[in-house]
Amino acid sequence: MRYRAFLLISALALLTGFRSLACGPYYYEPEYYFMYRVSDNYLPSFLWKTQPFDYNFESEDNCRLWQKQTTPSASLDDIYQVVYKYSIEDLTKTPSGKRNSFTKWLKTDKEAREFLVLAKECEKARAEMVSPWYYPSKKDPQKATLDQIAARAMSYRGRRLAGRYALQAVRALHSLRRYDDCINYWNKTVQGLPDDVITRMAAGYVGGAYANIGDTDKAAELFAFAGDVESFRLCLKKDSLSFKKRTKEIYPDSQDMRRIIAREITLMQPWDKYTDAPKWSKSEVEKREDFKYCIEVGKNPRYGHKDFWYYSAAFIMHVLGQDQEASRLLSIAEKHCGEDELLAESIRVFRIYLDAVLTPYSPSYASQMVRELAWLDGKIVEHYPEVRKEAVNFGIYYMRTNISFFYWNDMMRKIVLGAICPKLVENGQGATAIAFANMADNRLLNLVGEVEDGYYDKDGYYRIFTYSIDKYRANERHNVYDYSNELFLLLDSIPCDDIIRFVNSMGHPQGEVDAFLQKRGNTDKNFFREVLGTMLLRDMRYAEAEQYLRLIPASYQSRLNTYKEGYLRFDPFSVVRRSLDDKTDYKLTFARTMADLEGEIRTQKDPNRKALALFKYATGMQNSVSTCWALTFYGKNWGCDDPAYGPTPMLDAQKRLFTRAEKLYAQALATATDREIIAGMHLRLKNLRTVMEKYDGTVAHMEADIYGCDVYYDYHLEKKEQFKNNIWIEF
Amino acid sequence: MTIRSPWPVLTLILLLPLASCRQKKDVVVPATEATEEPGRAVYFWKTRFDIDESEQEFLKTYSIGKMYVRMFDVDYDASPAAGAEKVIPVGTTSFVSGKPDGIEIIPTVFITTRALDLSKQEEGGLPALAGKIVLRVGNMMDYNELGTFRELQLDCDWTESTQEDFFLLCRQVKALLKADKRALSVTVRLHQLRQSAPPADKGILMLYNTGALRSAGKQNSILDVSDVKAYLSRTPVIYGIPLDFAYPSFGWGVWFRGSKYNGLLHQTDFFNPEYYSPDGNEFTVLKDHVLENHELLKGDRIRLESSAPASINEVKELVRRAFYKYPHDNILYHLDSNNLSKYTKDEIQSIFAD
Repeated sequence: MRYRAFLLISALALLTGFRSLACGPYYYEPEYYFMYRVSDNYLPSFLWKTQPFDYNFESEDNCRLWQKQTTPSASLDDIYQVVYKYSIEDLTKTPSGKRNSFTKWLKTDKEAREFLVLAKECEKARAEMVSPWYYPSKKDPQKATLDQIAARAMSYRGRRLAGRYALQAVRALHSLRRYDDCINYWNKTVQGLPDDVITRMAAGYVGGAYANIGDTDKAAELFAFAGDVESFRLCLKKDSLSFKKRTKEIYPDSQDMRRIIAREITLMQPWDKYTDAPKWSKSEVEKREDFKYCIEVGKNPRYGHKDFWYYSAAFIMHVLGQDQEASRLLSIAEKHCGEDELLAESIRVFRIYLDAVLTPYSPSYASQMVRELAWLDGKIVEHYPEVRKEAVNFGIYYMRTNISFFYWNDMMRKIVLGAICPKLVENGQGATAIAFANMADNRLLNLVGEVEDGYYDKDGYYRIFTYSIDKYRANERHNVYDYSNELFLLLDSIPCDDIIRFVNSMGHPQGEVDAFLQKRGNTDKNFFREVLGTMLLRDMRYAEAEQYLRLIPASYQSRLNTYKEGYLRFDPFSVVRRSLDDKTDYKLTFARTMADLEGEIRTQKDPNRKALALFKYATGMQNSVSTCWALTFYGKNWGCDDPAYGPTPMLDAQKRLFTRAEKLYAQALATATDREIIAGMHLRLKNLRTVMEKYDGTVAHMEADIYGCDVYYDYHLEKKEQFKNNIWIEF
Repeated sequence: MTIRSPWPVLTLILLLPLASCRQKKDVVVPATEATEEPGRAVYFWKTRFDIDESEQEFLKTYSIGKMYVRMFDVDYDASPAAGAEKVIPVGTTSFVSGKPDGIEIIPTVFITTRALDLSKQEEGGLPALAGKIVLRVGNMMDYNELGTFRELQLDCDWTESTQEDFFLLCRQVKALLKADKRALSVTVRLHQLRQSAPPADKGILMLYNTGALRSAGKQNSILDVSDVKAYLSRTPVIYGIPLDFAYPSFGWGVWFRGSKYNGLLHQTDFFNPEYYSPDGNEFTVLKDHVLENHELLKGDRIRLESSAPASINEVKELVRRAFYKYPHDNILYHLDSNNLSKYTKDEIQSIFAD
C-alpha cells in the first residue's frame, strides 16, 4: 500500500505549480466527474479504466437458499462467511464453529458439511486451473481430483442438495472439458432440479459446455436461463444484430438488462474535453438506441423500475447535450422514486446539477440551491469517514486533478466548480464564485483535517508523515494543493476587484448563502490577502497591493512554494540578475517601493531625478514578470506551443507589462537632460551602439568599451524583435 | 542474413568458412542440386479441429505427411476481465476429431508483437513466456492424443523493433525443446527475409498475405506476384536457416465501407444479383443485409481475393530461382474443404510438386 501510495504520489507530484493543458501532465476538468450512479460500485476514475462493474446477484440468493435448506438460526452473514470465505481447512478444522452460527449448525448436519467440503475441493482444484495458460494433461493432479469430485457429485441420490450436487458435477465436468458428459448429465437430471439460483448457476456451466462444442444456439438458451448476460452476448457474437433483439425479448426489465444499460451509460460519460473518446465509447446512434430502449421500457405499464429507466434516459439526454429534455425526463423519474434509496439520491444529485446548469443565478435561486447543497454537504459529513483514510493519503491529489473517488464530494465539486462557478464568473459575480470554489475545494479537507506527505530523506529512505492541514501548509515541503486547485485557478484568472470584494467579505457573511459557504471554506485571511496582493502587483496596482500585503505577518512568506524553492530572492530593480541580502517581506517591499516611485514620478520636479525614478519603476515592472516572476505568479508557466489553448496568463501579463515598461523607458530617456544619466540608462538597456556612437566621453561609454567595442551590437533591438513575435524572453 | 547484391555463389562459399572462424553463425548455403521430392504438408488454421471426410480424403490423396496445426494465439488482453496475467493464450483450438492416420502434427503458436513486447512486464518476462508456451503445447498434444511432437513452430510478424524480443523468445523455446530433442521452426514473412534469421532450426517462408489487405483498390492482398518479386528477384537469396515454402489455397472477401477497411468475409460467393453488383473482382452491395454477423450496407464494397494457381506457379518459379534446389517441403495454407474444392487435382499436384 505504501509503495502504491508512493507511486501515485510520485506521479501526481509532477503536477506541481500550474497545470498545463495540451502538453500535460494530465488532469480532468471538474465538470467531467462521473455522475451516473445506480449502485454502490463507485470507483475512482482511474480504476474505472481497468475494473469492470461487478454486480453479484447470486451470492445473496445462494445464502438465502442455504438458510432455507438448513436452519433459520444461521445468519446470512455467517452463511456467507462459510460458503464464500472459508477454506477447506477452516471448514474441517473448526468443527466447534466458534461463534459462527452456520458452522455451529453444520456440526449436526453431516450431509451439508460433506457437501461444502466437496464444493470447496472442487473450487480449489478449479482455481488452480483458472490460469489462462492452464491446459489439462493426462498427468494432472487437478484432473484426478475433479474426476473424483464429478463421480461423487453425480452419485448423490438425496433430494435436499440435489441441485447443489448437480452444480458441482457440471462445474467439475466443465473444468475437465468433458463437455459431452456435462451436457448428458444435465439433460438427464435437469427435470428433477428445482427452479432456483443453484440450478441457474449450473445452467451457466452447461451453456459453456455447449458453446465449447460449437452449439451456440443451445448455449445462448442456457446462458439466458442462467442470467449470464455476458456469456449470452458473447455467444451470439458481441454487437451482433440479433444480440440486442434477443436480449430485449428475454430481459425487458430484468436486473441483468438494467445492469447492461447502467454499464453502457456509465461508459458513455465523457472523460474530458481534450482527449479522444475511449475505445468503448458509443456512437451517437448507439446512445440514442439505448435511450429509445430506456423510454420504451419506462413507458410500458407492464414493467417496473420506472425511476431507473427515466433516470437513465435523462442521463443519456444529458450526455447528448440536451439538458432541458434531460430535466423533463428526470422529473418523471422523480415521480417514480420508490424503494431504491440509492437511486433516489442519485436522482436528487442529478436534479441539483441540472438546475445549476439550467437556472439563471439569482438570490432566490441561490437560497434554494444552498438548501440542496446543504443536503449534499450533509451526505459528505455522513459518509466521509468511509473514505477518510484514502482522503488523508491521496485526497489533495485526487481533488486537484478532479479524479473521482468519493461520490458525494465529487458531486459537490462537479456542481459547484463545473456548473455554478463558471456561470457566476460569466455573470460578473466573481466574488461569489470565489466563495463557492473555496467551499468546494476545502470542505472535505477541513473535515478530514489531515494530509499525508512523503519524501526521500538524505539517506534515500522514503518517509511518510501525516500533518494537520495547517501544519501541512506551513511546513517546508512543497504545497501541492493550494496553489494549483480550482480555487487558485479562479483567483489566478479573475479580476482583482472580485478578489477584493471576496477578501473584504471574509468574516462578515452577507446572508445564508454566504454564511454556508464561508463556514466550509478556507478561512485563512492571510492566504487570500497574499494572493490578492500578488494579483494586484500583476495588475500594476502597487499602492493597493501594499495595503493588503502589509497586513500579512513577515513569517507567512515562508509558506509560499516560491519562497520554499528560492524564487523570492532576486533584486527586482536591478538590470542584471542579483540576489538580495535581505529578502524579508519581498513582495511587500517591492509593492511599497513601486508605490513610492509612483509618488516620486508624480511630484518630482528635477527632470533627471524623475527620469531615474521612471527608469527604476520600469525596471521593477519588467522584472516582476521576468527575472522576478515570483512577485506576480506562483509558478513559472512556459505554456504550450499549441495555439489552440491560447496564451498562458504568464505570457499575457509579460506582454502587458513589457509594453508598459517600454513606454516608461522611452519616457525616462526623453525626460532626462543630463548626458551622463541618459548614457547610463542606455548602457543599462544594453543599447551599446547608441552609447558608443553618441555618448563619447561618458562613464557609460567607457563601460561599454569594456563590454567589447569591437563586437558591440544592440541587444535592445533584438529584444524588441523577440517581443514582437511574442517569444518568451529568458532572463 | 540476406545478400542483396547478386554475388557469385562460389565466392560466398569460399568466404563463408572464413567468416565462421570469427563469428559463429548458422548460415546455410543452399545446395545447388537436390534430387529428393519435396515433402508435403498443410496448415490447419481454425479454432476447431474437426477434419471432415473430404479433408481426410485430401490428406490421403496427396500423401500429406505433416500438418501444422494452430494450437492457440498469444496476445495481450487489456480487458478489465483479464486476470493478473495479461499475456495469455487466446483462441485455443478445440480438438473434435482425432489425429488423422499417418500424419505428423506440428503444433504452431501465433504470437502478436504486442504480446511479445508486453510480456517483458510480466513476471518472469520472455523466458517465463517460453516455458508457458512449451508446457501448454505439450499438454495439448498429450491431452488430445495428437502424438509426440518433434517440432514446435512459432509464428510472429516481428519487425526490426521487435526482433530482439522474438529472437530471445526463440532461444528460450529452443533450449527447452532441445532437452527433449525437439526442433523449433518459425514462420518467415517476405519482409523478414531482409533481417537476420531467427535462432531456430528451420523456417517456413510464407508466400501469401503479401499485399496490403486494408487498402481499398483492386489488388489481391493474398498473393500478388509483383509483391513477391520485390523480395525474391535478386538471386540467390541466402537465409540463415533452411526454409520450407508455404503457398496459399484460400480466398476471402475484403469488406470496405467507403475507403475504410471493415473486415473479412469468409464467404466468397457474391454472385446473387439481388444483393451484389460485380465489377471485376469487386462487388458493390445493393441492399442492406447481414452476412456472417456483419451488417452490410448498400454501397459497401467487397473485394474478392483468391489464390490463383497460375499466380502460385509463377511464385514457385521465383522461389526455384531464388533458392535453387535443395531439400524442402511444400506446404499448403490451409486445409479447408471449401477452399480446396475450388482447385483441380492437377492444380493441387502442381503446388506440391517440385
